[in-house]
Amino acid sequence: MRLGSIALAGEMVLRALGRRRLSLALLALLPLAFFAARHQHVGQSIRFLVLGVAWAVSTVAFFAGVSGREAERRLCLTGSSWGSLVAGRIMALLGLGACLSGGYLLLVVMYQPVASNAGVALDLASTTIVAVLLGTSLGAILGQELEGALLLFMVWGLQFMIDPASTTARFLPFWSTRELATHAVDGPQAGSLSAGLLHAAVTSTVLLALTASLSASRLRTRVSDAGRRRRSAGRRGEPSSSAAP
Amino acid sequence: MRPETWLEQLSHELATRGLTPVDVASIVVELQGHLTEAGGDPLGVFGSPAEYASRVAASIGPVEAPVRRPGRPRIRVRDLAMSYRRRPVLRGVSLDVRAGEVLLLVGPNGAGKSTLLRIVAGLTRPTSGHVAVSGPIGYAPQSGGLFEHLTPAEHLVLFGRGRGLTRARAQREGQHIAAQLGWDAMSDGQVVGELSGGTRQKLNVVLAGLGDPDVLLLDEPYQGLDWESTRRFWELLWAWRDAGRAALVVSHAHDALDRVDAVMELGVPSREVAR
Repeated sequence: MRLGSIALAGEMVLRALGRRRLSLALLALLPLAFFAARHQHVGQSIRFLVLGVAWAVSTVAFFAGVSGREAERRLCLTGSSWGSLVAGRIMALLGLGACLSGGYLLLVVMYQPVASNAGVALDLASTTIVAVLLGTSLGAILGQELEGALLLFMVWGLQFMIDPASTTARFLPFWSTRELATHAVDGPQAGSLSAGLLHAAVTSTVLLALTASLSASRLRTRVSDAGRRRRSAGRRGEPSSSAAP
Repeated sequence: MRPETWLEQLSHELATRGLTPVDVASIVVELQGHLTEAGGDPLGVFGSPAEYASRVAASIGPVEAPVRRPGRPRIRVRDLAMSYRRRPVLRGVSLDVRAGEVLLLVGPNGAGKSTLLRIVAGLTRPTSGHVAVSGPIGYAPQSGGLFEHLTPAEHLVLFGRGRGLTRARAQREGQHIAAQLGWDAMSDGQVVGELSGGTRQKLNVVLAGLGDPDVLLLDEPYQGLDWESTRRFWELLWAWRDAGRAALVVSHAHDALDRVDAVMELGVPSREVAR
């Protein structure tokens, strides 16, 4: 993986997303709607705001992954590395998520300051990372937009319905979001910072591993593998690729 | 062979023998008149375009002999079989495509032509059999394979990177290929999703040819192209072939039969019908 290739892949993801202005505007408004719906309750408004960011970012990440599936395979055929493409996409989405989170952090600080604004920033940051990786991994698992969107709805429905104090809730990707928000709003006695961060770290690692393994199996073509072998063998004039089941 | 096809190939053959565009045009116009008056199959009247071009070139002055000689195999397929949900799509397919050769795949819908191309490209795994490809591959799918919200120029940069080309070089090379298809890729500021089907297919061909791959896999490459663009596509493909590239082309168009070096019909059983 080369930095230039990762940067280029990321740049193209941002260019493509930047042209979908209405979609971006709607997704940027989604957390605001959640926030506005509960703005009279400080704790709930922050929790719903961050969950709204998570919803918006994971949805963008999912559709960014699905929309380029065939083209990415073709890019790998021309010699691009699957790792650069996936890393570039993740970096671009993280940047986009950071902008969205930054904007909403500003809103919280100005409109509804809480016990720990730094805690809200940490919550937004960890949630953005988990959301990008959730959307990306779902895009790697399911190539179809409808099926993927329904799976996202399922995750989100469960996230909102299951009692966060239950053991089952800990198996949901954004349990950490609520825990960190509670810590930021109500103080250390109400939510555990370390438990929230540990949950976010484990979830991110699992989702990243899932994304990497699925993307590798999908995008690594016989040709790209052969290209790597040829480069390492110093072009010995052997067939550049061959396949047998 | 249809007179238009014969004249088209003759133009190409004359150009490869160093005749100026003016000479080529005057010869073609003259022969067009003969063919219109006399009628009949130009192959029977004048022989193959290559032979006739050689005779004309020899009569005009010292020219180089035709240089096209198929080289070593670039694509080798042996006993390939592919099934989808136990339904056999390909059975016992074997073929060779050499450097400097264009092989056309024909067959009815569902015969497995696109599947075979994807297997050769390494995008689909066969059920059994063996495929060996020598050299970088340029692949143009029948549809898809593009980013809907990127412009053609951005595609050139992105696909060029895989070939190790800089931004400027990828756009320059891409523009050069596009110009041969009569298309200005760089000034087309629309995103791919807004392009016509024919222009998308031109972009697919340009991306396939970017970086001079040794092997070209083209699936319905001139689907949606107008007559002039189709003519230009064949000129481009012949130029690539003459430069030593191997091409495997899928097409339903009957006129393609006259324009390639070999034809393979896929169906049951698969057979090579002409070479």
